[in-house]
Amino acid sequence: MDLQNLTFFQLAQQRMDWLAQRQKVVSENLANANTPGYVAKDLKPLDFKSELSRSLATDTASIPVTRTDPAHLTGTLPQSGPYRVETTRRPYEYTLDKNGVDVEQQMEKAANNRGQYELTSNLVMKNLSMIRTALGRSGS
Amino acid sequence: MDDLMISTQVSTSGMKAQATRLRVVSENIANADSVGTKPGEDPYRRKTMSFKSEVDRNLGADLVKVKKIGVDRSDFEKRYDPNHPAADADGYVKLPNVNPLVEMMDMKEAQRGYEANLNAMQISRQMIAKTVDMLK
Repeated sequence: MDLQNLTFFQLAQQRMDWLAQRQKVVSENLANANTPGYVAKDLKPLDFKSELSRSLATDTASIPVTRTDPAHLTGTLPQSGPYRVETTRRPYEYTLDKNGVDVEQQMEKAANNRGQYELTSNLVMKNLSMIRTALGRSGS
Repeated sequence: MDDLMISTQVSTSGMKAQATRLRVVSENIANADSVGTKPGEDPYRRKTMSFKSEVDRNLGADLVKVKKIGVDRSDFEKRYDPNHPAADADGYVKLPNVNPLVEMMDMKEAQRGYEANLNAMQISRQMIAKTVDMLK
């Protein structure tokens, strides 16, 4: 049985992918909290509308370079992830060296990420044990 | 989970950069009183450093690197002390351009930056652990 056929598991996987990529972006922001000229970034929120248009229009956000020969290079940079990264338009404040990372805000995002990730993974485990129960084995 | 592994490496780069900064600060504080030994000789010149953000092509993430360790070109202060071995013809000794208050502030900021990176790394690791727990 392919669990991906169950919408719930698809949704959970998408959510966890999004949270993991967001955690990467938050780590980048925190690492660059003292870099002159660096402004905090964040992922576009995961909402139904954009996910729907994404699944309908086979990902127009990142069109790969056309390769007419197997020796062609795929591009210079690796794909940073399936979700769009955006630079914060109006950061809370800038320091004198034009750095726009608010550490408190980033810590809140990181903590929030962890909570959401835990929630999703717990839901997945709960659903798996429900399937086990339905199969007639003692769910553990 | 790959993204989470990458984020721990990004945090590591931040911690390394802040540690380098702390090293520069401690060099400055240690040499806050290092004056010359010959008449008119220049004392210790304060070191500065700055960060830059750099895309790591293997990871596909913005890492932080130390851009350059330079020197502070500001003027030295002078103190009248004619008996000092480094005193010039007028009896003045040049003092290092290190301001302990500025260095202390820098040190605190480096510490906070280090802690923030450490915290982000801990959260990433907890998220990895949670993923592995799903195997149970």
